[in-house]
Amino acid sequence: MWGDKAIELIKELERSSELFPPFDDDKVRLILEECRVLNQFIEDAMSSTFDPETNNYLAGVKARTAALERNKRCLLAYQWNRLQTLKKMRWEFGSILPPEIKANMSETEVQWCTKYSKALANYMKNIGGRNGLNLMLDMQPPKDLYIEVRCLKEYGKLELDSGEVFNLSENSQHYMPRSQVENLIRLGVLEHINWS
Amino acid sequence: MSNLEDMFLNEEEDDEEAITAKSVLEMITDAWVNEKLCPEILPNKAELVEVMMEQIDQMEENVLQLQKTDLRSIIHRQELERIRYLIRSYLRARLEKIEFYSVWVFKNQSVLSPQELAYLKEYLSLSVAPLKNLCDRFPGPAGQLNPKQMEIAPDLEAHVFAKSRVDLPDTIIVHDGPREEEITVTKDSQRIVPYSCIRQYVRDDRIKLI
Repeated sequence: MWGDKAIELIKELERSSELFPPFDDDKVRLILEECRVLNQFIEDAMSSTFDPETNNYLAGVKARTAALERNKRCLLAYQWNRLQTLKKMRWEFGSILPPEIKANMSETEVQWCTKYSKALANYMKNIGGRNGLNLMLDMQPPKDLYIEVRCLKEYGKLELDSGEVFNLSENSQHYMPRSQVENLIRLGVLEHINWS
Repeated sequence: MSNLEDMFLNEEEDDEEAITAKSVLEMITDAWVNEKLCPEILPNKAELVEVMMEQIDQMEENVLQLQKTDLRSIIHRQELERIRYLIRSYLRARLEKIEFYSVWVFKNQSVLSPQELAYLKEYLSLSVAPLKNLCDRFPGPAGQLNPKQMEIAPDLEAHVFAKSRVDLPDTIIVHDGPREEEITVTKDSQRIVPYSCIRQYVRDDRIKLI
């Protein structure tokens, strides 16, 4: 049936257990091929001469136009929803996406991501006074000024705004200002130890 | 939290400044709550954000002059963190709406700050590109992107909790399905209404969302 592949594509995206499934180019190509056949029929019908006695094209053309529109809608929805997911991850992981996600992106999506990061950076640079305002920080309401963190990876020295230097070696624990380590927590270098 | 705010902001030496800083913070807090609860994007409060950012810079300098172990310093810094969170969260909430309703917001762009507008334009053009790419691969007349199909409009009929700041001069008419009801709004009265009925009042800050 027309449109079956398109709906499959969308269902797969929704059902996938992966965070970001690979771009299904094969299926997209199949759908486009289906569209090409549909469109061919319509074009043939358009160029044939109209004869009320023998012309039984009309219903066929209508059905095929609807199928075409539906396929298009599904493909666009597929792409759009993938971009929304990417966007969400951009906010969660920061500008460097994990490699397993990068591997699943289509080329258009890679480009989109770069441009999106740039647009965000531009915006953040232009707000909030001279230094800009980094909206990626403070994703959660702040509870404590200092938090206890455990270092999960060898990171080396970290100098704080106050001039204090911490040596972040693996498995060491520190008591540090939350605002300055939030980024490292998101990158997985540090882990917030929650005693409560 | 409000106790801390009182303590913190009243402690400023210059009394007059303390009052403005406090009221600006209050206005931003309200704007933040409204923005979080409102289905559409509200008129921007960029000047408030700017003033607050300047205040933060200044307060930060004041805090630096205190001893690090001073209790006041800790409380002040904590408060600064909270204000920063407030501002970031407020701008993020707006950004989210700008992105999600991009086409719709583009048509109603008067509510945006200049920076937000610049961002919206950039975002729109970069987001249309992948969709356009896909459309280009379509045969025949279907290969055109229909801008109407891209538009997502906020649901203005969504119900919101509203509280009035003032006595409204006019009654408002609440449509609820087939029923129609006229209500007089007095100061501090609260109600659940469809957002569209009170839209203009929320936008000019006479009614706030809670």
